[in-house]
Amino acid sequence: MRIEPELSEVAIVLVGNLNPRIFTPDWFARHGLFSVKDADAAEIDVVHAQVTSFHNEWLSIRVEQERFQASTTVAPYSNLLDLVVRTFKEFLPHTPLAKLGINRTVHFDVGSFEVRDRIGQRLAPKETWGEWAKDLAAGDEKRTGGMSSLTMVQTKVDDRARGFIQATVEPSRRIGGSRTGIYLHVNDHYEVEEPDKVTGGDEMVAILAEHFDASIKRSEWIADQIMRLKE
Amino acid sequence: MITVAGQSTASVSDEPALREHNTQRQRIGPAEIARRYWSDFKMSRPDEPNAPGHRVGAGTRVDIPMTAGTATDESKLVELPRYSGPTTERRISFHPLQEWEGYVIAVNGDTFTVRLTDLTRGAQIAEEETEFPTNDLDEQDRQLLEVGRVFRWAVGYQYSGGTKMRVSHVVFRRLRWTEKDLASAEKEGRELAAKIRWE
Amino acid sequence: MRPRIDQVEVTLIGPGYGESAVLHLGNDNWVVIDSCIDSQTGQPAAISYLEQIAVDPATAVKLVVATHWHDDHIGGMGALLSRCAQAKFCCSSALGRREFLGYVRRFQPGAMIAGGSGVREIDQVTKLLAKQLKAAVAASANKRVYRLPARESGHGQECEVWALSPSDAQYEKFLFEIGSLVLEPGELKRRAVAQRPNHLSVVTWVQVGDLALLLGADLEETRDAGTGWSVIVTSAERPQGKAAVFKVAHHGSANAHSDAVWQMMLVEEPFAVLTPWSRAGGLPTAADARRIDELTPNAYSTARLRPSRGRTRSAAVEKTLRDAGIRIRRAEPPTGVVRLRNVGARDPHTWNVELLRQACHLSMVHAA
Repeated sequence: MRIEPELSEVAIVLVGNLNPRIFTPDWFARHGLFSVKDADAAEIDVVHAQVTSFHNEWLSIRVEQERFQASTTVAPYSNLLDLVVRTFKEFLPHTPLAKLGINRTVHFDVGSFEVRDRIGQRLAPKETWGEWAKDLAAGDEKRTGGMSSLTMVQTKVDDRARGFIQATVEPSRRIGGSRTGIYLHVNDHYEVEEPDKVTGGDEMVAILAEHFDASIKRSEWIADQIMRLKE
Repeated sequence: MITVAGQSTASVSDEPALREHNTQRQRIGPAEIARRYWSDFKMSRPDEPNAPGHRVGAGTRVDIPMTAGTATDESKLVELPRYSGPTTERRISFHPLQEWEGYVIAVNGDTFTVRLTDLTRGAQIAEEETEFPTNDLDEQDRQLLEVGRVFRWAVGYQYSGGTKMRVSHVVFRRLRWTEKDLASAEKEGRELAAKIRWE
Repeated sequence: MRPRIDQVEVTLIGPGYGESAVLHLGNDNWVVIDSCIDSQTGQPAAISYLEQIAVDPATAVKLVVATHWHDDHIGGMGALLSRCAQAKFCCSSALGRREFLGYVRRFQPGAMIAGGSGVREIDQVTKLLAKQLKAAVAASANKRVYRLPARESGHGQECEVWALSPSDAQYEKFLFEIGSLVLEPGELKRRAVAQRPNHLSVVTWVQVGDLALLLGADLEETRDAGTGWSVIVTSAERPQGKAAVFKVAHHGSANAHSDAVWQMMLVEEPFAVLTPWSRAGGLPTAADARRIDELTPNAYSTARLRPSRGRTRSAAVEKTLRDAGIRIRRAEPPTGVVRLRNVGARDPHTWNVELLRQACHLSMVHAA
């Protein structure tokens, strides 16, 4: 990417039928998916029949009855990929999984409020809103009108039978003092063709294994299209 | 009493967008939870990480966004265990400036030689080579070190608690063959072999 | 510029994570032995070369030979074979055995571990063969795999391409080796590791009238009478005669050297060509280069073995590497080309040598 992000995250989300209670750090360590050191360092937020959540320095896991989410802020992201693939391929192959999201999030700084405002103006010109435009333009750096969030969706994607790619761009509330940062999130979404008939996780895990690297690369390319507007 | 984070819908839907980073809490009943989970555009997105105070990589909050006009019946609320989010601030963030996939071609005692494919450049073949000290590996990786082992190597800036520093991470991949992998490969090999016509 | 229809050409290209020999038998009939990727174009080197001299691979290439499946001889083979629409494909039938293809299929894309270019290319090639888009010619000891009749050759001489190996014993050794690659569930995934010595190497003999060429692939000499060079040299069933051009086996290594080959299968002071190999300290070694140089003054290498820096990256990355004491170098020298063309039908035994790009005389292979 042409601008180095200050915050960077990759998350894998699987939607299906899960038992949150089993996904403890000890379970991962017992199956060789975590080192003992990582398991010991994990801070457990909750372990319950309906939700389990824990995290350590590089990984965050949250599991609900219909959703598994693993995210990391530390490259190489293959670490996260391998963990998720091994979990569902080697140890939980019968877990029904119907949907997969490969998510890439970046927060990057464009240097000044003016530049960020200019980018927002290009993405969502206030003039489009006709007579309301002048009211939108009112305000100052601390509290200004204009684009708050924009989401674009690609609905036809060659590498999948069902799914889409969705990108959301917003002013970042986490960096740049909420004035100079941009947040961008890409959700690369895959689904099985017949969700009612899914009996295991093979299809989603195979897609994750095969497409993860390309997905991350594509998401970063999408991010680059917005970063390009800084120039 | 805690509430469970819902999932935002895709923007092509007619449903009002559920903005997960909107920080006001709302209580919702089980029917609403079920509806949101099983909507056609049930998202495979994680919790929206653009909330002020959202802790990246440090667990997730379970706030539910507010939408206008949603009625609730408090008597039907789902009881969930008390859950407090982590008290520490954002943890480490490391974005790679450069990443390679490599494999071991020789183990030389104190060092091991590797070939590298430049993933950042989108290379398809391993065009580069170098040596790493064996002592740089942790004990487990050192024991598993042999020709053919594959790893990822990332170099870039790491942000941690307000500090920025240059780092280099080597992570060996620990994927394992499953019975299914091997049986499936054997079957495909058999089928391919049967189709080849020899003169 | 392309050769005349009556000229014979032997062009060796490499490295490029491998080597490729491109032969003109006459009258725009070409044979390609092995494949590598041209470091400049990123394409199969044989395709880049043929296009450069205005030859259409789709119609001109009549035979593609894969001497074995190791990474350094097969890079780009799938793409090469797809482009050479009229070419037959020749390799040992051991590469079509279910045991070997089962091994290859383990590394299909969902495995998340690249098996290496060897298994990837074999996978592509065998899929092409399985779709019956190509017939496969099985190479085995003393078998003629291609014939160009004299009336079609452009110079009036019959041309034949022979496989001189693998012998039955080599075939069996290879199967035993593949059998030993059995994996158990739970084992760590590793990249495919080529075994040495290479038991399955296809040595080719090309006869153009009374002119002969010997391409030694990767065959190494062994102590076993049923394998290695000895079994070829002593065979009564192979084409007899002596070759004027020798593609030196296994990058000129001592393990692949056979005095008997030089005495009994090569003319005096033949043209000897090789591609260097930069692993394991580099081949040919200085001693290898001297040995070959003493056998013939006409010895050439497609490139020098000179360590060269890897790519330059951003300042932050370069500083991190320097601080960690890590020096990245190019895995292979840039691709070079040694081209031998004879004068033509009126004087087929006189050759012209051209050293293109990084190619050099063998005495310079270790020069700075």
